[in-house]
Amino acid sequence: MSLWVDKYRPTQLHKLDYHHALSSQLKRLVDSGDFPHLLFFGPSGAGKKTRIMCTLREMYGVGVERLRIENINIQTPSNKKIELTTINSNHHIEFNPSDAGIYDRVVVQEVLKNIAQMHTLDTGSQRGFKVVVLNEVDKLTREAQHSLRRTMEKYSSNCRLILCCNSTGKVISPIRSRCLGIRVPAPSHEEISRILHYVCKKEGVVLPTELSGRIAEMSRRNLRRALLMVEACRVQQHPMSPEQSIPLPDWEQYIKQTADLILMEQSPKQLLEVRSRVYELMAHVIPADVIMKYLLEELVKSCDGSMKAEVITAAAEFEHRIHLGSKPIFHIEAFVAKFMSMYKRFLEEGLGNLQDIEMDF
Amino acid sequence: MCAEFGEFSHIEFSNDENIFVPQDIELPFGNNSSGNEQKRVKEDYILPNDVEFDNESNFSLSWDTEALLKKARNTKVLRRCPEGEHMTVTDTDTGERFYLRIRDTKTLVHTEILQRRTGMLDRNFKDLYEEAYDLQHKRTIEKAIREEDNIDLNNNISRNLTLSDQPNTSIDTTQSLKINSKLWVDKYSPNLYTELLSDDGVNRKLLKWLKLWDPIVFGGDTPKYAKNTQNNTNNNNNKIENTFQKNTTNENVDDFTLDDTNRPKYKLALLCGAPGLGKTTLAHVIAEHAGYDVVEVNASDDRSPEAFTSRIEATTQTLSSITNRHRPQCLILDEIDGAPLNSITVLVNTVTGKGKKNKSIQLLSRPIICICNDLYANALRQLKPVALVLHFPQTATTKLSNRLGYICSEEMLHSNITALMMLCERSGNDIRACLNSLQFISYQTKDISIEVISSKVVDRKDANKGLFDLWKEVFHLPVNRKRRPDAKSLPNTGSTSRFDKIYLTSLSAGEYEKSTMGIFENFLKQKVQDSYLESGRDALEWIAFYDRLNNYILTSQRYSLMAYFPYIAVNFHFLYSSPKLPYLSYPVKHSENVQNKAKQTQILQILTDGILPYTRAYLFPTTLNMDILPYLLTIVSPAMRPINTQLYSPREKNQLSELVDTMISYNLTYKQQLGLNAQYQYVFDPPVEQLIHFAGLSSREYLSYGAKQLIAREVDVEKMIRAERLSTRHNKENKPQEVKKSGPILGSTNLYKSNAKSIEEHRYIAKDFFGRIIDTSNSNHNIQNTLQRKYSKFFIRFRYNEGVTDAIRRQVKMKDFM
Repeated sequence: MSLWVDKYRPTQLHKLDYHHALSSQLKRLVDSGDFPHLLFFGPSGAGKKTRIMCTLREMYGVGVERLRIENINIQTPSNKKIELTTINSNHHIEFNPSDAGIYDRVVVQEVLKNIAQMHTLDTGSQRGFKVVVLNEVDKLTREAQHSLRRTMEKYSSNCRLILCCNSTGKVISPIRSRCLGIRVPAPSHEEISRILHYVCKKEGVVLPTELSGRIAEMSRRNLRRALLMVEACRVQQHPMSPEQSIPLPDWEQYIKQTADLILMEQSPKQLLEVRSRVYELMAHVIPADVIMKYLLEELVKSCDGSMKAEVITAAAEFEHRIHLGSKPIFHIEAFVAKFMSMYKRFLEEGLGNLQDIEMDF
Repeated sequence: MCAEFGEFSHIEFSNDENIFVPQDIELPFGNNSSGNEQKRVKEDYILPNDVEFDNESNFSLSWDTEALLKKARNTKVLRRCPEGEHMTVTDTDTGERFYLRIRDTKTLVHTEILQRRTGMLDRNFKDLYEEAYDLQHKRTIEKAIREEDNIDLNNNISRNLTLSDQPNTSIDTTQSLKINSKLWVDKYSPNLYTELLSDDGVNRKLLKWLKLWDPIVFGGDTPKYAKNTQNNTNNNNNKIENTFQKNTTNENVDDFTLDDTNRPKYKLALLCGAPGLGKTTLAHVIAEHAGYDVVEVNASDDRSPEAFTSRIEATTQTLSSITNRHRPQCLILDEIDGAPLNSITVLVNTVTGKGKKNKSIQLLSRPIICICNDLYANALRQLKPVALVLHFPQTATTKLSNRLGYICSEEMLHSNITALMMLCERSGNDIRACLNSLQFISYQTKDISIEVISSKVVDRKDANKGLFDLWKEVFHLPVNRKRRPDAKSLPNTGSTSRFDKIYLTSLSAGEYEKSTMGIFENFLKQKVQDSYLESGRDALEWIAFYDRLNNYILTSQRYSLMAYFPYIAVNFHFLYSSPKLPYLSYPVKHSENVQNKAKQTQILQILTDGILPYTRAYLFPTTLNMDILPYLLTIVSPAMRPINTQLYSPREKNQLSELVDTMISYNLTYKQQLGLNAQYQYVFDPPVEQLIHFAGLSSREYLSYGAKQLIAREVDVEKMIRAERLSTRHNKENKPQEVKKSGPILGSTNLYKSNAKSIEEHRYIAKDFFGRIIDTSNSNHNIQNTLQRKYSKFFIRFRYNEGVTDAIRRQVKMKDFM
């Protein structure tokens, strides 16, 4: 595996670079012989998946690293055929129920139940149960989550679930209560730059400390991204210099530009321009909440204290509505319009105050 | 006819003796003669006093005995030779001779048949005769008009007025006095071009277009305004004229060009507009006016493709389409928006001259006018480009109310113009609805006042308005007519009535999804004072509300909540309406966006499907798109020397192999493709570049052509080597073939895709592998080995299956294979 992210990914619990307390806790859990359902949550790029794989490895040995891909065909009650891809080893099975879109309930009911019902044939292995890893649980529809509840209890004798998600906010509380929640926080800047230095040393590349700091900053504490950034930097300029520019993904730049447009002019015409840009972003498969988040971050930078609170409240409201509706564009634009309106008043008041002050002088 | 009767009677009469005593005749006619003939003969030659004629009043009146005797003297079979023309008849039994008088045909027709047989008609002959005379008169006038039309159209219209006024009104009055039971809609339907109430521009345009057919249909010169593509000289005068015309009449001159077969560019005219604007009437009147016979096909007729074809061919393509009126036919396809799609295809093919039997189809030689309500019907999609599309604007209220006033005075009704205008407005300027309700009212009261109209007697027309109408109403602020003295009584422009109006329109338009999308895509283009963008903010709140509500309705199936949808349009009206006429467009952006997104998602899916399991285990779809790919594309394009790999330094070689490794694990490769400027270039396969790049941001060209080519080849080679290794490993382990595990690397198709270089590599490895085999193998298997060397991709795969087979079994040792 050649990307640095893949190449230097630890596969054993004791080799993990940070959150040592968590690692030892997991190790004790595995050593005890049995463990409850687990719910890993934390921001993207914090190392949830790495920890899950390490735990599995601790449990079953090297066997879990021999992965293969299988396709399962399911038929929904409305006779629609869905193909679901699973990643299997001999000891565990992993899949992404939200791949099935609105039919995720069927996936949970049919596939998961089938897997859970079957007893492990491999009596030679040390454990009497197998593990099912479910990714992106927070993207599951409510119905799917509800149908998960009973399955979790009923088949716990021969099947353990490891759920993985970014935020528990979108996981219903009955599921949360059935799992042992394990939070994987994002690594700190220092931890990231330490890892970057370690990887660069292994690769035989000199990484200037300044650059590693900047990368850690820009990666938003996302280790995956930090490693990719370093590698991209190395490709761009071979002996890396402290001042060299760090490439940003196009979509991030594009959102930044959009935010600039909003701040530059507040008019219906501008709103129309912003709309076309949001459409463009969505066409590039950028999730609506991400657009909202990055846009807000950029916009908030040019607001003063009291307005910041207002803007963030509004953004939270509209972000919530995105999930209630089905067309995110409406809600993003409603937020932009609201911000424009607020910002224009704010600017004019500021201008008025300025004039007042000048008058006083 | 007369002679026939003579002969007929001669034979029959000769068998009978009683014929001489006409007073008490019992005519024993031949059994073979039909009742009808019997009657005729009786009428003409005998005096049947006991014969009953049904329902002929004036006929029976004249049958008194004296008259009978008189007639008998006048007509019958004679014994003596009469004066004038006659005919002799001999009785075969007695040998007696009789004489029959031969009468002039003309006098027979005029005096005998017509006078007596009027009873067969439903009206008095006198009236009929008068009407026929009038009709003939009218026709001659029309003919004159037509001839003049050919000379100059515009002059003609004014002259038309003076010429046609007189006879027309006379007909109107006579009709209205005599017939009371006719629907007013039919009674007052216009018969002449000048009586049309529809928009003058549309009328003229259609007439002009119809006149373009004259050279084909009637012969003669082309009208002046027709632009011929053949002798279209671009001199300056022409241009100036054209621009002038465009400015003044807003007509596209190109609509009236002729093609190279001297026929109009558009073979069809398509009239579209709401019901009750007079489209069908216009088509009929104009076709008559231009000298055509109208053949109408509407929704009540069979409109299957076969019926359609035969109809079109019968009316338009055959040259003998001359009826007894001696006029060419013009086909009017009414209500065409409801016709099946196949029929429309047939029509379009006929018109454009396309089709399977291209040669056999003649060129269209008669005009076809199509009429529809909904221009955006699916069926009409292919018709629109080949047709001259004429939109019917709403009839002007003043024009319509004037006409209603005239009708009221004709019908002896009291009316005032305000009440009539109100009627027009209530019915949405629908002529038909106006007339019907007027007639309805007239049975109750002779006084048409505002009170009557505004009472429940005449309700608002329940029109099914289209989406564009809705959007127009939403964004258009009606001008307040305060100047009128009686403005209070008119449907005013106050906010309450506007609220109601938009609400009802939105309710009747339905299709909330589309209507809301249309509002969403159009509202920001409206010119409305909105300095703090507050209306924008509120409007978007409403749109967002719509989305949430809609989603809620769909998930919870509470359709009663749909009652709240119309208020969205109402709110937009109050926030975004302006007196200017709005410029509207159909909403397409959202659906386009959805399609684009689906396309990109699919690319992402293809990419994900090919990623190696181990890499994939750590991937989520969104992280691949947002985090990995943007950097990955940079990472896989390092600075490389596009030279032979043999000349690379060990470090470079290492770099290259890592690069290839990365690309394989992320299922990337380069593919040769013909670029825009007809040059071959290598692009990523799957095409992830478009997934990552945004328009407006600098798109980096990562690598040179040579480098990409080099990498693409190396990726292929590496894939092959891996496939090899995997299969040899299986061979060694004596494991059954693992098929499930096949990623793209294992896909055997890759083996066959190799180019020359890769095969070399391939052989080299094979040799290395087989070298070991040769050492262990028996001499007996040498031939097999050489064979294997030649087609080194094939291996012996041993599979052990327990059970019985029908195949010949032989003991083979493992050693023999190795």
